[in-house]
Amino acid sequence: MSSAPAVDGLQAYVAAHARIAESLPGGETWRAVRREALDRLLQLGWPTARDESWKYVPLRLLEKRVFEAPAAEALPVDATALTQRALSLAGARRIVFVNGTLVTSLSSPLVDPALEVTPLAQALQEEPDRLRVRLPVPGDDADQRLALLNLAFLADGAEIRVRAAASPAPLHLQFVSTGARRACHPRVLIELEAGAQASVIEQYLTLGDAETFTNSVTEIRLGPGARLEHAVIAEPDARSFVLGTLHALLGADSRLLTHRVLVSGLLSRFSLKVGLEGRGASVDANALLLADGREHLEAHSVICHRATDTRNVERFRGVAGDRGRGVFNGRIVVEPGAARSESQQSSRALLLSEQAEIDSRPQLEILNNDVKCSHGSTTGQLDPNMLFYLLSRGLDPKTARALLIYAFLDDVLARLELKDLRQQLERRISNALPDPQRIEEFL
Amino acid sequence: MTEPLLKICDLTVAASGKTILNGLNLELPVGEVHALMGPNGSGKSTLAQVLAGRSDYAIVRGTVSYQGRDLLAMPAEERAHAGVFLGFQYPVEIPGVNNVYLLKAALNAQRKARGEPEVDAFEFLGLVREKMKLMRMDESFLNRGVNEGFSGGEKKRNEILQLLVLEPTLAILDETDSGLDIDALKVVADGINTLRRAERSFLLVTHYQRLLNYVQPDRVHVLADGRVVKSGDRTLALELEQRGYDWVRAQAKVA
Repeated sequence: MSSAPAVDGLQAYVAAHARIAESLPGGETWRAVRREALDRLLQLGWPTARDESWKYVPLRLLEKRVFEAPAAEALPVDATALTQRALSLAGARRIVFVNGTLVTSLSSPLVDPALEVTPLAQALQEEPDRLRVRLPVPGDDADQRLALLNLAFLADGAEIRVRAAASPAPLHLQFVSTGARRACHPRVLIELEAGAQASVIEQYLTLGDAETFTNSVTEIRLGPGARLEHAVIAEPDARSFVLGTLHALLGADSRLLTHRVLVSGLLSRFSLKVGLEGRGASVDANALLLADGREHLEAHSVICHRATDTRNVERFRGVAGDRGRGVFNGRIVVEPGAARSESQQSSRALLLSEQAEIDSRPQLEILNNDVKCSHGSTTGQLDPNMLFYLLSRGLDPKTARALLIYAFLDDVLARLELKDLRQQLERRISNALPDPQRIEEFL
Repeated sequence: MTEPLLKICDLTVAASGKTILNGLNLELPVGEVHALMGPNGSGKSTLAQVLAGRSDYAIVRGTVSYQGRDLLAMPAEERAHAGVFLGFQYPVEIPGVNNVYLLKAALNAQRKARGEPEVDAFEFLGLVREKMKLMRMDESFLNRGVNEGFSGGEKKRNEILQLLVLEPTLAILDETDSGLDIDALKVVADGINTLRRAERSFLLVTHYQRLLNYVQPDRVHVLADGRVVKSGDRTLALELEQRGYDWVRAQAKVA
């Protein structure tokens, strides 16, 4: 675990910041915001193993590496290779970011009466003051350090606003990292006005043998009665880092259905914070991780019930094989004013090898008596009774095992409402399992 | 005399250091239906599981020959390919694995092992629909997970559905009758009777003789303390029903 003085690992970022600060958009206003964010981060330092939600994170892996700051111009990307690697969602509008920079030539046309998509670099340049108010300054707790780092380097991303009662085609955001030891810090703002409905998919991938670091922040705001299906799919190469901070504020009677599907990465970690701010707001938070080799994958969540009649259903499912490592950390806070709230959390982990490990930690802080809360957590191996049943029907052991692992994960995949996405993820997940061809006919 | 389909000699089996089957002998000729009865804990289910290839048991001694092959040396899936079928006493729920896909995979795995072509999806669906009608199962069972959310009776019907589709050479049915109401029992019995053939054998493991009113056995064996203590024709089942199991045990001890 990290025991070196925290600031050491940040020196490289100070140097990188000094090199590019002048070239970033937003004028003097934003230079000051970034500078402040960096100073705060230097004061606070990286999180350490003493910070609960960073306890298992191999941060020294990140600290040991020096990443180049994003170049002013996006590195060229092989569009064919990208198309092959990315999910292909029928009818979806895609927005491609290369090392954090929105590339219009690779993206779909963004004109749509149902929504407004603004490249963040443009918004920073044209409306620096509005954005300064729009973007919250991260707090001091350990989980906000990456958001501070993101703010210190903020250069591009997208601001998405779905108009009241509109329901546009799904938006597919592709975050592509490429080039040796590149870092990027994209930021996405998603706002649904009252009664709007939308689907936003964030896919994180790498091209080439990249060894990249992506540090994204997504902020979601749902107006009254709005409904968003949101998915994060992280599948970078086995030498890359993807760290993401998701922050959602839910208005009255709005609903967020969110999925985090972590398939690969030397370190892939997504931390979700949801504020159920309005009466009757509801969230379904699903997370699935599939850790193999020496991958380290983490899904964290903090769900805060701040209003009456709010609802939360959380599902974590993880499979770890080889020396894979997974972490689930789910905190539920029911504030005193959140009467008649319901919160459920279930976490199930499946270990396929002796050296694999998944740590699961539920935390409940309930400050109101008139609530229904439950949580359950299991960790184990494949059920021998299920395995024998399949063998007794003539399935060979490899197929039987693959099928049971797949079925275990499908419990989360089946919750995806966007059918096209569900089908493609099911295929991807099955391909990431041992002996994928054996279970093809079951999909 | 022709070789029996299944021949068990001196089978002694232990689990967690405790002897469960103790010198069991049994022969099941080709084309016959035998009932295996006995009190709780006599080792009936253990025998069924051992024959199907469950590996949690230690074989202490003895042999099991099936079609002249050493059954105990075969892994579970090979036994299935060779036509051995176990109808489970407690069919396991496997959420996420589609019931009908499993059945298709099971059928094709067996056909492949026998060198036969796989059935295509269309042909298979026709077959399953026909058998489901026979078992009075609703079409919705096609799309559900294996036994997922099925009632006790539905699980047992599903086992017999598999039996009908897989058409095994040796069907071992472990307390398929337990927990069934009389209507379901008749449906299950009809399913079994449909499959009775000169080349197919059944071993019906049961606690009560109720099922035997509908499926008439050629022989009845009584299992106690891990071995067969008495065998007879179907009147033995009726006698057991009237007199209980203790008199057989007492007789066996005297003998």
